[in-house]
Amino acid sequence: MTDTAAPIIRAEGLSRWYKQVIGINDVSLTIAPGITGLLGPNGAGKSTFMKLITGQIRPSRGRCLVLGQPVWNNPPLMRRVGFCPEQDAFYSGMTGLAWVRGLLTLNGWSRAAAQEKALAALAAVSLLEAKDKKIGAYSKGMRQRVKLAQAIAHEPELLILDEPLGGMDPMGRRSTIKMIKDWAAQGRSIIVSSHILHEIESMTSSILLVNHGRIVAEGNVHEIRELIEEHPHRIFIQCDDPRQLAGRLVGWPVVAGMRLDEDGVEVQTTKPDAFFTKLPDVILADKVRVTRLLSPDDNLQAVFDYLVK
Amino acid sequence: MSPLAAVFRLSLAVLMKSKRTLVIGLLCFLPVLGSFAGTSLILSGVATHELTGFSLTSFIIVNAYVYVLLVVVTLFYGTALISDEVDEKTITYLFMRPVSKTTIYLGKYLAYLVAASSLLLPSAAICFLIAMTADASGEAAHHLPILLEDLTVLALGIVAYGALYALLGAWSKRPVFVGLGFTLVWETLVTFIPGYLSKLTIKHYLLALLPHAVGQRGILGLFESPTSPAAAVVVLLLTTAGLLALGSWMFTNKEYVLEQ
Repeated sequence: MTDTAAPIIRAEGLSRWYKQVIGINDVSLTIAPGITGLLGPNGAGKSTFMKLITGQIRPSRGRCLVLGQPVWNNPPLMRRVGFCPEQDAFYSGMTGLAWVRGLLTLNGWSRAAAQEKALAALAAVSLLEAKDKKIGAYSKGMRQRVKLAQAIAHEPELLILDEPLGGMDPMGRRSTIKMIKDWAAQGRSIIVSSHILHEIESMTSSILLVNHGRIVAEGNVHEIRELIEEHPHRIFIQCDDPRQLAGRLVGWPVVAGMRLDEDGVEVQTTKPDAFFTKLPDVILADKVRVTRLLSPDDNLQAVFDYLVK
Repeated sequence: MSPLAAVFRLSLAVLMKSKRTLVIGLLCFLPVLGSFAGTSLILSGVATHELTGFSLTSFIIVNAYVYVLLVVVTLFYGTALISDEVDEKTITYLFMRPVSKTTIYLGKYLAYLVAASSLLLPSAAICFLIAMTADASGEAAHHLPILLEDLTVLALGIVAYGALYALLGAWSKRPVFVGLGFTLVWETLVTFIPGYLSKLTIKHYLLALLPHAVGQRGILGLFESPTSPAAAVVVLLLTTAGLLALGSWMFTNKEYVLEQ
């Protein structure tokens, strides 16, 4: 299990460039144990960061420690790390079981022990029935799951998942998200990158936002939302008398704008906490019947869109 | 299981199931057909009296195996050892295991040795056995040591060429073209240049070991000194060790993910 006190990743002035192109530029951060989501648009530097923390490339400048150790050319560290890459790449002529077992033997286990662990990993990703099928005959979702199986099979302390849900059907996504959460609940750490933001949100609220080779925000998604108070936060209040409610809200210092709708009012506020504190008083005083309260900006997509603008 | 054995087993399993092995297997079968056809001609009396089973074997070993098949098999297997993993993006899985890159490189090379030998050497032996049926009984047993020498030369060729082509696979994005350049241009060209340049080829040392009359270079041969079999073996083994060390160093320090 991961030492709860020590960061799982520590980057200090981490930079990587490819000739004239910057991948990651002067990134310093620590990632605490638990599940951390890595988000960023294409070309943001997310892939470079993943490659650096998995030791596939070297930093051009700075350093990167994974579980307290340098990661480039450090094979013993790989006993503690599992990686599910984004690329759809396999020894497609092998069966799922033979592939996972073969990779496990590289960890030093006997064939019998590797077989046992491979079966357990395939069961964890619901691939036991297809274990003897060639990977080349797997569907995209099954291939994604067998990649996940090879990453978890040696029970690493740190699991690094690059777009792990791509190509999975809704059932597969749900069970994989559950598996990831269960994995973290056992005290292990996970770094997961994805473009599908609501899926990241369903796994964790701890995120890193990457853009233009820099970390533009890190921490809890709600904390990050608070950091950008100057960005208007939308709140939709569905009620029986939108006109009356709007009239009461006009002039509030925390209300930056409003849009009247048929069945409610959309308010833009720079101080959502203050707004939410005061709103119940107005509702009770005017006896407005509120049927729904939505905060469309209080999700990762909104934070992400705003920060990478 | 030791890491080297694990890499070896996994790599061998992948190699033996590859389409490349099927194609190379079929190629290795062609000289067997040639041997069968030649032997049939001898036995039916169509061939000239100078052509014997043994001379047919010599011809096939030198021209089909040493000059063609040895190069083709080692080139297409050796260069693919690393470049296939890079091209197919599977190398990441190997690098994410607690195994040193040197061990991965050597394990894959050992798997190549077994795969290439298991196709090339039995094929050569079968050619010999088929051709020897054309000679008087007892001739086969008499020439058996020559077969063993031939197989040893081929095995050394697999070892040395494999180390060279594995290095090219670890170094170049287009290892087959570079390998073909070395083999077809360099190794062939220097054959026609008087002097000692031919000693900068692998083929020179293999030919020095062959128990058949080959390598007659006429006047060009006057400018060179022959290499003794013992020296040829030493040079081939040292060359192999050097190429493996260089390939392993390159494999350890190169960022292959950038080529994907």
